[in-house]
Amino acid sequence: MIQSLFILSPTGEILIERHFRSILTSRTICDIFWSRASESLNHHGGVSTVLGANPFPLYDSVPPVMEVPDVVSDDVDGGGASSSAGGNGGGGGSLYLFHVLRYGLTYLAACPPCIGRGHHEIPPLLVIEFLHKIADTFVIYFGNPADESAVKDNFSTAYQLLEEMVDFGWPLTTEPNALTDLIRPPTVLAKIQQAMTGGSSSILSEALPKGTVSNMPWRKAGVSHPNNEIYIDIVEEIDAIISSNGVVISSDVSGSIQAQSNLSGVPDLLLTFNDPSLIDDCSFHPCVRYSRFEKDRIVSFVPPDGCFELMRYRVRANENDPLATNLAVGNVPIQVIPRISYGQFGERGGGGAGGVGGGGGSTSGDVVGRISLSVSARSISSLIFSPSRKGPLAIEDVTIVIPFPKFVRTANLNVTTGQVIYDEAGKIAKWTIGKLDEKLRPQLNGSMVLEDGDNKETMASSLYASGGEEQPPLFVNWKILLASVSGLNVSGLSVTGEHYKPYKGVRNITKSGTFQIRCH
Amino acid sequence: MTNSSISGGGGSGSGGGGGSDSRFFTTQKKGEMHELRLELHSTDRTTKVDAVKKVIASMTVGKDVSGLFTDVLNCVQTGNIELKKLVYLYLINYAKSQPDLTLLAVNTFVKDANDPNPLIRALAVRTMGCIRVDRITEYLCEPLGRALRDEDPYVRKTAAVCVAKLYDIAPDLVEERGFIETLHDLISDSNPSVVANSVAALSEISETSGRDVMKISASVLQKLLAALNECTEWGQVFILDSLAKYTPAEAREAEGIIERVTPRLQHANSAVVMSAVKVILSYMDIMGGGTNATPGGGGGAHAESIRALTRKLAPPLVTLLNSEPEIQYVALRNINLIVQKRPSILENEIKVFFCKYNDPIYVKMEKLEIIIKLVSERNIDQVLLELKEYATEVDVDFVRKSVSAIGRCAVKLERAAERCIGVLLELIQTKVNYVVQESVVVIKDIFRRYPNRYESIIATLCDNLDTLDEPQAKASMIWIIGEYAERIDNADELLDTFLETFEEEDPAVQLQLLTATVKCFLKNPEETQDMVQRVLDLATEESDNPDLRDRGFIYWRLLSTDPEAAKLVVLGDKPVIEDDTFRLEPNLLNVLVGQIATLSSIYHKPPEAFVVRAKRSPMRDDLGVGDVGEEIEEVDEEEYEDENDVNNGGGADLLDMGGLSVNNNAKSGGMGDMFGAPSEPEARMAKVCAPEKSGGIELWAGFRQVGGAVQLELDVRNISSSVPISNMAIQLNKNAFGLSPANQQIVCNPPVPMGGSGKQSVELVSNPNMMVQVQAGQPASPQIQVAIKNMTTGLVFYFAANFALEALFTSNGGALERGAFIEAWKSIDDKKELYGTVSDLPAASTDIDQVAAKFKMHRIYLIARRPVPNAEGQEVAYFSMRTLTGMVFMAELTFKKGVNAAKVCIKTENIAYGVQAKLALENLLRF
Repeated sequence: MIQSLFILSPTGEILIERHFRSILTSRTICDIFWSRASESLNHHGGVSTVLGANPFPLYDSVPPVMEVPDVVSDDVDGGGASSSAGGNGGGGGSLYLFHVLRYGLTYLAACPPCIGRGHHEIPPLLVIEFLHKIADTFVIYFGNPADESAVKDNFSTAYQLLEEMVDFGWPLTTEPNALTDLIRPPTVLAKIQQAMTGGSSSILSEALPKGTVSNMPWRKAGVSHPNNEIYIDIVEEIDAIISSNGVVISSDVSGSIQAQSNLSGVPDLLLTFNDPSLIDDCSFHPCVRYSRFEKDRIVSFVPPDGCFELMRYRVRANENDPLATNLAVGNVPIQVIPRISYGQFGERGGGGAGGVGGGGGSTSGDVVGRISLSVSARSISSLIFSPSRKGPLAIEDVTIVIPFPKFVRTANLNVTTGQVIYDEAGKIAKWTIGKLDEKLRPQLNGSMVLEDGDNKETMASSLYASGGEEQPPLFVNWKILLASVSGLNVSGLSVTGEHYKPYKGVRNITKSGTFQIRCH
Repeated sequence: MTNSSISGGGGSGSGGGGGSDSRFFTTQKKGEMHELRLELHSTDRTTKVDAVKKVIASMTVGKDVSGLFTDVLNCVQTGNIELKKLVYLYLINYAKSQPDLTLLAVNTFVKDANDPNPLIRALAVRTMGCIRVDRITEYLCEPLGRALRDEDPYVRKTAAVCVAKLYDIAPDLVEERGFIETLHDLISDSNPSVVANSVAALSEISETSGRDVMKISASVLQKLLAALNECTEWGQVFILDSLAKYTPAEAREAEGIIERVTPRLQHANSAVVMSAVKVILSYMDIMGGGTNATPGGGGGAHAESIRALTRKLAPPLVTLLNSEPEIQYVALRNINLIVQKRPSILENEIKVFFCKYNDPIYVKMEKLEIIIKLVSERNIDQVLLELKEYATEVDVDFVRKSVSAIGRCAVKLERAAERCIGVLLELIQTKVNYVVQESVVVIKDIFRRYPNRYESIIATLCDNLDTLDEPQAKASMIWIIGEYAERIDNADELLDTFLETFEEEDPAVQLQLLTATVKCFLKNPEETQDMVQRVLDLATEESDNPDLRDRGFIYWRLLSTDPEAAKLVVLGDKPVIEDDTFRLEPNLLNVLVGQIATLSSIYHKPPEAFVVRAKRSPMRDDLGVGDVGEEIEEVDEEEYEDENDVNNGGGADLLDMGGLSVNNNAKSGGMGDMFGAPSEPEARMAKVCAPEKSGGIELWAGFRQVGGAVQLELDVRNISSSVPISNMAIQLNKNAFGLSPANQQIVCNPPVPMGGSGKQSVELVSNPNMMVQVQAGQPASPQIQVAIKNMTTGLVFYFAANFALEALFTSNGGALERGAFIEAWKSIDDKKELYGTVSDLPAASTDIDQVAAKFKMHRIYLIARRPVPNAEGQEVAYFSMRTLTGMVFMAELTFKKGVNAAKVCIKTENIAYGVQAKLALENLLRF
């Protein structure tokens, strides 16, 4: 079980502290954790905002499980007089710290290696999943992002949530629908009221609504919507690693079905696919009846109210081709060809190097860098388009994130389409292209000025030697509406158990997951 | 909420964490407390709520607000749920330091436990359970009993947890009140949350008490399997973990449970998936062997269903790698174990383990480990491209590990070694300092694996001497120079440059320099006489390092007394290394695979390693049970040490062979015809495990062959285990005979009660993977190390038994042709003969006819017999035997009339096992 839970601010300050057992875990373990975590800050530290969907953690070399000496726990059985017993108990053991990082907050759980005297521990994945659930719940309650100020503003709600979510160190109620029945989320209206009156409006539901802990913990009772509607998005994400000349090194397509259900009562839904064999392996929301899917590949469920992820699945690459490159290449609808190099361009006296001068004092022979990126939409025959789709291909929300090596001081970048921002502190650039069609060929050109430090010589030598290979890969984000890699589509969605006829909307989206382009 | 309440309020000397908390204490404003107190007594509800919130906020930042205890407690008399909840929150946290005051609130608790609102009823029960004050239990039992049967599931699920809380304070009360039975009933509750909490409570009580209150009987099993479909995801994890501890009686039951568990592999919650994987993996072993009772036909069907299961396990494991990095990390540590145990599961999935640039470093490192485990001839090219890419990344540790991974691929895959070396050479060309150094280290390993094959690259290595500044890289390079001195034109000059700084070098480098110089001298004495003298001086006179001095003196003496002998020693063949340095020892692996989804699987340490001395709770001491707990603890620790004993003491038993035999002489007169089924000889049993090592079980073990299969016979005697022995799992360490159990399950039917005993047979199969290489020139160890897990108690214990080689003799080809025997006898050098004399033989063993008959039962065949010329009354008999593994032994036994002794001489090409064959014959003669 979980002995104690802490939520730490981005600077390591304790925001929330909760102990579930007789033992009060000393706050010292937070200091121990924080000092170990800070030792391994990565140099792309504070760039999470720039990278958006793919935030680098603040510290990413600390494994999520950490063993710390438990010399500081106080055993409080028997109150203040127990100092001797406490000292006896605390000696020599270990505590295991699990942590999850979200929006700058560290969710830290302290667990003893075994409970009682048997050889039993809490399953580590259970702790980590649970910490994620807490963070998810905070987003539902306090808005996105659920960061330091959001938690501080709502700390008493946070405590009440934890009361419901965990008892005696075990996860209990974590379904959002069930929680919102017990503790009403702060609404905009309530917040305004609070601000106006200066008082605290009650955020708790006064009585236990009927069927709070129903047999369907994921669905709240007595749901009523004026318009009954359900929207289903089939989202397929392509994770890929692509070499600088456009060859797909590895790719993986994962799909998810996101739903937003605004249906009254207790609707029982049946969702059928055009070709269920396209789904390779899948994981389901607890509301789905597995046995039914096993039997006839139909998803049968009573949905939670609101937004939820119905299922995830994987689209398998062609098994006959061990490298599966053909399939993968065809599926990549966007091509980015990078040319990045570092070296002594000044000596070569080319016209291009002149632009670097802006960086200040770069004399002939200085080590500089050059970058050019060309982007194009590719013939994407292997994507399967929805019949409702009209007009030419358009790739939307195209952005490219360019992390630079730490020896780059500044970059001077120009683009033909969209706009580019260089974040000097994070050594990272973000190029927002927007909509890309087959006619458009956006280009980025620029140069980098490198740090001049004491170690310039060694740095330069390592640069020449490696041919600038320390350039990290680029990350490309994009999405295409009404397109699918697998061709999976919903062929039917029927409601039983209720009398209304809901409005149903289904659409396909294909987008980038972790989509990276190597630069050498 | 904070421990300031202890150091501040209680005034005890614990003060450990008090430093940081007192900081807040001192900055507290003087008037603040007073102000808060007034607000708490306000008649306005909003003011009151805000005041309590302020109090809780103060607790959060570590301020001591215990002084407001009575004031806050006053607010509990309210119909407002929010206010009540906040007050209860405060109470729980301060009850620990203010137990007597908390009792003032008891009336409120009791009243609230009868409130018409289920939320308040539940709140009261939950809070009372959290107040760990002895006297609270007097008041708790009544409401708790009612709450467990409450009509509202919210109250029932809260009450289920509360039973576990009460058990922690007063276990006997829980028993007395029959709450455990109530929990069992709640497993079949209609509400999923109630089911989940009841299972959790029962599991925890089992753990804390050491008693199996969660014992899975047929009816409980059905209840759990039904609940698995109904309860919350957390409850599913608890149920699956209980199932993993259960050992199905037979393959069909295991299969049935697996069928019910398999759908959990599709759960969105990774903890559920991993626990389901754990259940399936541990049951697969049971399915694998089938029970002994099943006729042979069943095996094929099981093998098929195991293959089908294997296919089903891959996708969910791969899916876990699409999760958040924290989940990936834990999943990868577990997958690392799974691919070692069942490599086929993920053999086609290597690509999902390729690292993404933005994977956290801890994920990358784990992925790399798995890539190396999955690399094969089929995917090596792709893997090499990846590893080369990783070798250019920023993180130095990751780059080094990638470079060393290339070397590990080369050592693992002979046919790809050349390509791997090609990549390493390319990397050396980058001149990136740490890449070069790491490459040199792994190239040394490749040279050791494939001697005299890739020396052409030495020149390239020599070009990079200057870049080497790390001891390990230097030592590796020097080893290469010494080993291949004759191929390097200026080997002596290269060594000479290193020698200039000899005294500043790391001891590892100094040792290598010493050895390399001596090698160089032995290969090219003319040029290097001075150099070797200098090194020997430096090593023996200038150095403080005893290892270096010792090695120096040995070389010096060798060189000065017998240079030829020195050549044999220093330039002799070295054992070839294998890529098993990263593999877990099979015993440990099996233990760990059983611990998937636990901390053990992350740290790859056995669960015993995590046992901490249980915290002594003062209340337990009052009840007199604390000490019992401590004792159990110590037993655990001892057990863990035992494992080390076995490992360290290997081979020490050689002289103890068959010391404690309980077997009567084998049935004689077994000259039955060749085609009949001669009665199989019994095994010689020896006591191998004392009851104090194994939780009260005494074990006797012996080996024999039955129907062509090698069997380990076990005599199980329950000396003092109160739990009857019913199910055990067995695993063998790698041994010189490559033996491993065909089926890891041992089922005692009927179970062996205390004072009883039972016989068990474990069929052993010979498996090259389980073979431990016998060191050249050393006799093979007869010892077989065995680990047994008592599935009922969960205890694992270890012992070693000496193998009886006669159990391995086969009738197939055991009797050599007379001519072939003579030919073979002559061809074997006299140096490969082993002599011995056995005396005090029983009468039956002095008569060659009887001996031959007895030997035949053990598949040792008489070839010829003749009187010894010129020796009155002496007769020799020649025997041959062949093992299932294909080793042939020939024996010459000499008897003399009237003397109850015999001379035994063994000739064999498998000289390492000769001692074992001789011992086998001697033992057969003796008994």
